[in-house]
Amino acid sequence: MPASRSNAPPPITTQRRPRAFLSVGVKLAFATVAVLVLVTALVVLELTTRERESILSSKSAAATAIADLLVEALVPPLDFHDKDEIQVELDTLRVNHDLLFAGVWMADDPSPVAALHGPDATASYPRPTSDAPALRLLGDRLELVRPVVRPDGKRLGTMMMALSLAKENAAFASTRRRIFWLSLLVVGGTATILLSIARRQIVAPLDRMMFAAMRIEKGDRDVRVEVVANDEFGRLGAVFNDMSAAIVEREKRLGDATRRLRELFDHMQQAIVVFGESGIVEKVASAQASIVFGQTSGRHVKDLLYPGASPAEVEVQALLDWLPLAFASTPDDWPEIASLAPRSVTLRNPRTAQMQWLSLELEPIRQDKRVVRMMLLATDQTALHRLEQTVRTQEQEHARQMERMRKLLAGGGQVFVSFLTAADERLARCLAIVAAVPPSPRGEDESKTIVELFHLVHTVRGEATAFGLGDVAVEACLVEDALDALQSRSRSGRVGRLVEVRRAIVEGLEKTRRKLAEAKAMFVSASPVGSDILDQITVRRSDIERLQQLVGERPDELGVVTMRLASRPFSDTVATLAEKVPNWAEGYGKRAALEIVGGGVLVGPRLGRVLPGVVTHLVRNAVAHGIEPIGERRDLGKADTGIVRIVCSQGSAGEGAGATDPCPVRVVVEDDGHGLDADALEARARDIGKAVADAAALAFTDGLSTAACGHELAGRGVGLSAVRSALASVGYRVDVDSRPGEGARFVIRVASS
Amino acid sequence: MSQPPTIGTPRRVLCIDDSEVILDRMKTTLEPHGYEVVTTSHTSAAARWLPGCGLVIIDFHMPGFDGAAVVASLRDALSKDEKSRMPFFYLYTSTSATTEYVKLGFDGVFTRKGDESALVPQVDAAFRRLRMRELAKKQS
Repeated sequence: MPASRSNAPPPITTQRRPRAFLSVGVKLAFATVAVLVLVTALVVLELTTRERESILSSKSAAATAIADLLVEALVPPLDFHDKDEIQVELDTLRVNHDLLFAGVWMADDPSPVAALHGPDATASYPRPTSDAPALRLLGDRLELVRPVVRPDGKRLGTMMMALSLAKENAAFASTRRRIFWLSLLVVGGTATILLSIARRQIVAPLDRMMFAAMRIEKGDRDVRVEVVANDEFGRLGAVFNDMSAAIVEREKRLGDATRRLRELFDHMQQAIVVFGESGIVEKVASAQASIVFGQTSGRHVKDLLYPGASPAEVEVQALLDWLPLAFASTPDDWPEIASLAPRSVTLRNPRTAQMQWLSLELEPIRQDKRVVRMMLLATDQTALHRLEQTVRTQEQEHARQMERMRKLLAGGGQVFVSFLTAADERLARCLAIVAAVPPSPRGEDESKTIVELFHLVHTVRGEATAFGLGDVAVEACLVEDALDALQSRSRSGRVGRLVEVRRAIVEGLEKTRRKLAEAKAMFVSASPVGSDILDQITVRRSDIERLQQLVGERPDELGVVTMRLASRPFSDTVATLAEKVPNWAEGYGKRAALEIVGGGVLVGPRLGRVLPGVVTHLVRNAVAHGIEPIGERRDLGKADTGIVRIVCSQGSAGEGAGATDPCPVRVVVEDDGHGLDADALEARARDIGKAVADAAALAFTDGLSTAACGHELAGRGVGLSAVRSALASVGYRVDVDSRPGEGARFVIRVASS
Repeated sequence: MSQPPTIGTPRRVLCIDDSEVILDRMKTTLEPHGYEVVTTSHTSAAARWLPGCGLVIIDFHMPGFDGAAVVASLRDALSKDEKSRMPFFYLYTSTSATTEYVKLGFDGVFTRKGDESALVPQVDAAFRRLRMRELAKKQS
């Protein structure tokens, strides 16, 4: 078991560098052995010293006794200088095997008078420097010096004796060895006993506790250590068990708190998910998340909020732009970044398939000020949002109804009723066409069908717009979009198949029909006579037409009132033109579109009779002569598609003064083509012998046409002059204003009397 | 039709659509949310409304109109500074947009045309993107 574990919690105190693991038992044994060795060494030293001292003291005592006896025996021979006797006395010592040397010196004589060398003796001994009695212990021998003194006190000589200590030393060495081995045995035994006790009493319980702690760390609940000892370890075990129980208890409380918090989150109806820098959801923090988003883990937050959205969609783009900014944000600039986060999202609930409106909050999770994760809190506010929307829709609806009624009152209910009938017929025709589409398309036919459908729907839309029926117009517009997308696909070479979008188109058409029916119902319910209004108005309209015929053109009040009753909105005149213009242009290899402004302006019956032909002629003329072919327009820096614009406005009071029309109008037909070709007109005028005064005026000259060849649309040379005379017959005139390269502008207005 | 725009009003949106009804809806939807809306149904005249707008939403489903050409001509009408700044968005009917409009020169796509409640968050998102781009520019 290494001393430090990589996943060990950080220590509270300063961390030291980890060292190699050494068991506490080994440490204890080492310490014990060291102490024992020290103590034993001291004891051994003390014991051996004493042993040696006792051996030496007994030897010394024996030697002293021998020496004293010898000195007494030496007194007479020395007194008589009897050398032989002295030698005899010395020889008595020969029985002592330890004797190395014995010598007797006469007083003041440096060489011994008699000497005895032991069998092992090798060296000779000089006369001792002092005659005083002495006992010297040398390493291997013992030396004794004694003066030989007569009983009357006269000093006769000196005796020295050396005894070997070899035997004593050998005995001592043997004793020391024995003591050493015994001590070693004691040390070894003690260490073994101590180690086994330490192992059983300290190391084993510590190991048990360590393994228990490791199990707790791994998340093992209810870990207990067996408490048997009645010592500190027993207490430690008990404390450990208490601590383990406390941890389990705390974890349980923490778990409860987390669960309650989650329940609280769930109760708050908040879907909470946590995602990392990659945008991938890492954690789902509330049950609501799966209810709102379905499967969340491992999905990108973009797919959560905008499922199935293309990266080109602006909301997806904004979110993907925001994420890196948010993750790089600091606490200081967070408020600004937070203000750029998405606030709400509308998405289909994956379970109920109902649309849900979620308000969003994005909160950073920081570590050391750095954003490591982001928390997304989504609150389902569908109910609140619906309520708000209902209120708003009701307000808007009310405003729209008022507007519609105002328009109906102004425009005449009869026109509205005829619109309702016609629009419904057109939609029914569309549905019939779509239903008859064969499963496998046959090239050209398919494209023609699409164009036909488009024109029908477009007319419905234009008329609905004129009556302010926004709901109907929007639905029709959506069907138009679908058809146009299909058409542009077939234009770009890919096969656009009507069958593929049939369902969507049928749904769109039926939705348009429903909205139309709603408008009709609203109109009926708003009328004071209920559904009779439809009949009444229809009847009245046909009556008015008849009445107008009967009354005829009269300058008196009867004529004016009848004429006013019979007025029709301008859009009736031009409704079919918008869809025709692109086709006409295509016939010339050009592109053109018609813009109509003022469709709701009322046109009197007199002008109303000639206006459709006049406007149609001017528009055809503009497409044929005014708008340039695509290549030419590109060279001139103009858009590929030329614009023909018809603007109808209520004529000013001045224009109407003295005129027969009670509701005078002013109609402008203009295009952004190359204008009238003045040179060509003059040249043609000279050819046919007409006076050349004003190029613009020439345009209306009978029989004058600049078109290179007669075309089905225009160019027969009778067009503009016929227009002028037709308008003159109803008290109107037409003027032309042309700027070369910028276009021509025909203005139809009341001819001043 | 709205008043001609003045320079320096950032929360202005130019909507180009062939349908006056759609334009009117867009205007009434966006204006309560603090956006100034300029609308036109005339592509030829749209360029003069461009200065001062934050973004442009284009929807032209009229046969014969090419979205790419409209965007290109409008971009040409912009000053150099505005050209890099002003995004053009295509208004798309379906809920699932395709990236083909980006190839045509649009900066992105608005989806769910006709769903008024979807318009405001998308315009919000477009303006947030503008602000983020400014921030990124400032930081760099």
